[in-house]
Amino acid sequence: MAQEFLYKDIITMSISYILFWFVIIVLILYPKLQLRKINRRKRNLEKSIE
Amino acid sequence: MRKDKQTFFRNNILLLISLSMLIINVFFIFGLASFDRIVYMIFFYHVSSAWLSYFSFGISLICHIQYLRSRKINWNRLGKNSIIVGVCFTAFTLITGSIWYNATSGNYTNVFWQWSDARQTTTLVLFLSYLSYLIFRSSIEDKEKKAKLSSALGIVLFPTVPLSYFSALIFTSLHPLINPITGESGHIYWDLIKLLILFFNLISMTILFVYVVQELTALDEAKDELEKIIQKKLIEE
Repeated sequence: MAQEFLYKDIITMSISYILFWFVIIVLILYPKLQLRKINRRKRNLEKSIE
Repeated sequence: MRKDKQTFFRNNILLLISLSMLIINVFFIFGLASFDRIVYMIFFYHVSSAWLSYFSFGISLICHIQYLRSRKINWNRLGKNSIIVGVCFTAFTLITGSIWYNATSGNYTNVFWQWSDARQTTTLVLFLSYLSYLIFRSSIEDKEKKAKLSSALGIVLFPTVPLSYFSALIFTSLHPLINPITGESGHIYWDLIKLLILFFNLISMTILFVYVVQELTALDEAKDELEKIIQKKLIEE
């Protein structure tokens, strides 16, 4: 049984593993990138007010 | 330059701890845990994500109750941000659960979903409920109204969490249960090493949760500041 599905098991495990890290990377990068965007906008607006 | 580095480490200490723990755990999982089939290793990630989603929805419940009691906007933000993390990990749990189902119960016959399986169906209900919370929240303009209504909804939706958790015990489900007693059918035998690895994963993901919620809250505060600047500019014009 274990040998029969070894190849498919490895692919399935790899997909899950990649997906796991994808979720984590998105959760880490999303606030960082958004914050950078907002700070840039804030700086531009403050400059234009001055 | 040195000060920059220090600030970077101080701001990202939780991220660095959790990521290093997760990376170390990869070696533990692939090096120490032995299963009949390699696909069983999904469980370390699947169970940890499920735990994290339940945990974040639990935290959101506390935050929403606190908001309704104190009317401090930070509680509502924390609740919302916990739900964002929870929804992401519930989606991951659902996907890995389906993949797992196809790999084990279906033996790769492309059966990913069983509506009769209580755990799968109630977890989907949980996911859709909290996703609807986020959609509902984003559809309200007025800040106070948004916070009040979303807090109430956050509390109302919480019963879907115990429903999802206990569904495998109460109703018909093919979902295996973690059991340290060997030989029981329908259960996966988890020895001490596997349980320790799982526990290590849970801790690292909980630390990551704290970090992400912290970052999302900082983002909300920055958005507020931006709004104030925009209003100031509009008044000046």
